Amino acid sequence: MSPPIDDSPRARFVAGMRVMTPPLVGVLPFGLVTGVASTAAGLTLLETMAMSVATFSGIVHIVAVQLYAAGAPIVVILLTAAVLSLRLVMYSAGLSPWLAHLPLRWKLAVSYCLTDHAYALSVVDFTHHPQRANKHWFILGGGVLSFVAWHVAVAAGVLLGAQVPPRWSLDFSFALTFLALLVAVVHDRPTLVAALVGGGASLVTYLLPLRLGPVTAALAGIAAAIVWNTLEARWSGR
Amino acid sequence: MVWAMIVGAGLVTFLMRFSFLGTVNPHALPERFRAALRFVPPAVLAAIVLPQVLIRDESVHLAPDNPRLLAAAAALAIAWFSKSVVWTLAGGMIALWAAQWFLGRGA
Repeated sequence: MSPPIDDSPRARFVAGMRVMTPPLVGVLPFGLVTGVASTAAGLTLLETMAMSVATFSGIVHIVAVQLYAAGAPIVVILLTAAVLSLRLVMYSAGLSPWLAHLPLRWKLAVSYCLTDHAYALSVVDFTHHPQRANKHWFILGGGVLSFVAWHVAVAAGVLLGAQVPPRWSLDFSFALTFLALLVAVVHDRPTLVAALVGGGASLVTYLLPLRLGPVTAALAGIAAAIVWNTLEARWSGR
Repeated sequence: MVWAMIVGAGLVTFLMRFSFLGTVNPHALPERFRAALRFVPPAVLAAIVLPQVLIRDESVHLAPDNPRLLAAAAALAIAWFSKSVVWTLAGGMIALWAAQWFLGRGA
């Protein structure tokens, strides 16, 4: 006998919080690193927290403030932020069939909560329990927990970043965090091509004016993977 | 300028999250577009990581006397086997400090 299923908003909210708890172990160091990076780029505590609340994305936050510190024009910063957050479009599309019926204010709230982990955890839950109600409360529960934890970590990073001397090379921790994420997203040949071409191109495009290097290199990597994928499909279809 | 970035970057990121939830019918999303989005994370992350490891003072440093290259190689191995951000971060920083200390003595 399984216990009766509780699909109340409250129960779904708590369930969302519960599944979000283990991934926080990996998220908190990234939040720290984001706070350190933001301080190194010259942002104050207030500006860092505003940037963190506005973007709710470590990658966009770190790369944008680095471009800002390097004197990139605002248009280039926003263009780069757009490419960095393109994967969020994929998440938005992935969850929308389950949430299409919601009123606008819920769609706005749920959209804000849509981080990498929120997407991954929600897809698993919604696929396994398609009949369960209050899916938006599930996302909101995880979202509120990760929002609080994330901003505490970023604030701690700001305070830490102000203490640590430069010879500790703490800026290298951003590269390491991204490296760990990179290894996790390369899982077949087209994604490997995207990484090799994107990374290789970045060693040439850094010479481009206006700090257009990262966005250009990323687009080159995406284009190369699309071409590779198309050719591979054609060969295997023969 | 800093506040323009904060508001602008926040708006851009939110619009990406809101894109399909807020507007378009998801079934209208072409399969090719969906496939292409899969390549965004590896391309973006590699384009950010490699310059941070290899570029110093506006030029590429591919020789083994670059402590960041040695530390990144160690971190890559740790990331591959552990699949953990925490271990990669810890191991990579220790490798960097070790490489800096070792290379600093030789110089």
